Amino acid sequence: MDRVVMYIDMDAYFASVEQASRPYLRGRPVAVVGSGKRTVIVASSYEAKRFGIKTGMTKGEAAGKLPSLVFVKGRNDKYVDTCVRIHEILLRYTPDVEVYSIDEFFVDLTGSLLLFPSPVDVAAAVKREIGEQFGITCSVGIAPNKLVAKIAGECGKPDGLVAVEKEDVERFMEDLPVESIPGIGRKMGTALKALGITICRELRDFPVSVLRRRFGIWGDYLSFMARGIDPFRAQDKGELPKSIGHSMTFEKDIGDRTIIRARLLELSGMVARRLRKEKVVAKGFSLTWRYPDFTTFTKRITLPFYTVSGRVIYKTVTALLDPVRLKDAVRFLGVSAFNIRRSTANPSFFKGLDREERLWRAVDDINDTFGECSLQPATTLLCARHHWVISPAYRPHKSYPYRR
Amino acid sequence: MVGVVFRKEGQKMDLKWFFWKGRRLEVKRTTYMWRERDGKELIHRFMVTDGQDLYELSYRQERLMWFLEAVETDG
Repeated sequence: MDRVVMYIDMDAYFASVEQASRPYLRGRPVAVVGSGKRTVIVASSYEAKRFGIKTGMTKGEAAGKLPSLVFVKGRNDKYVDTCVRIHEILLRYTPDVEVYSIDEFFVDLTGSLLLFPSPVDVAAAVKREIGEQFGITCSVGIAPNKLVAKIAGECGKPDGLVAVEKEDVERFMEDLPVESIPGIGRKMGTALKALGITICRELRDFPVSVLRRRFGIWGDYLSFMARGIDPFRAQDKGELPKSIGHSMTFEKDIGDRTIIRARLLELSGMVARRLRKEKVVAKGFSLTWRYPDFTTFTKRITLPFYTVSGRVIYKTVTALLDPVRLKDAVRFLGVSAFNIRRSTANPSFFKGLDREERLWRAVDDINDTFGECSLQPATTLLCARHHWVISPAYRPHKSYPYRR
Repeated sequence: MVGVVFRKEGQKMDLKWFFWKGRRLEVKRTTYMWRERDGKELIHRFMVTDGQDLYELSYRQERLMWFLEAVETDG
């Protein structure tokens, strides 16, 4: 049986949810932002996109471009819960559903096709149900693999449904611009243009050896993808995250090292808590800081041991920052953990370390019971509370607590 | 003080009316509902309209209490 993959992408997700919640916003240009003064746009409605309002623009920039733009503060839990409920809808059609991001899903219908008239019928039913339940729209692509399903889904935006049969894949791809292939951004697009390649047909017919010389292994991938062949292996459900990080843009630039350290303590604690939640440990850590002129620097270090301790992460990142003579105040700080492996419950040979581990487990339990930040290091009180906006790349945890 | 009446339609809570400032407000439509967690406590949130203004109500499952969180008026 031929494989059938359905890709579902929610249209202007965060902004659509806000428009559905607030009927008076329907048909108006809306931008979802964080609650800080320096927040950037995390999503915009189609009405706003039409006027060039894009994700990542500052509030001031966007307001200057479109004075009638309505700013709405993002509500993370609302978007996560909606994502979980959409996931529940999809699980009624097949257990083979991958939550690709907070607003994208891959559904492998191959094994459950006999239960339904056709994949297009399933897609139409899913679209109808999402529309009725949440008042938002989605675009669906159906194809023999994830790559073409995603491209088809993007082609039908907004509110589209594009199905590509196996025998039509090459023809479907032929005239598409190379940038429609996921993974080909502006930089790669420019490099391909320099070779005289602008559409997938030209990429398909281009000698692979030349592509390989220019782009390495990506040269082979590009050639495959231009034919509509997905060169990537299926995602392993137990795959570990490559990195886990948190960052903050501050309302005011921070020059005081004491406050910078307090922020680093807060960020380190958040990274450590995520590591513990994911049941992983890390030994690589990075610190990123950005000056008001947007120049950004990153320093990395790999420790000789794995850890989940917020205190160790904090000491590591402050040790990275201490020798740096900051040329200005900072507007942004980020802490990331990489070089991650699964945590194993090994007996601790160091008594002190075991004590700390138990302490953090107790702190986690308290925060799980009474809410985030119920118990936190007193030093972090030096900083005003930061309000978070979810990243569109966020993926709800698999053991999401709301699942019924 | 907020009082809310709801009926169970399948798994859905259907808000009918609530009291606010001594006035009984009829819920014309629930525009959105979602769930949040505050620690272990599950919170059900509802955006409802009386046809004029928009209200955000929350129901805290542990405490069995309703709260009026926000009132929004267009313009």
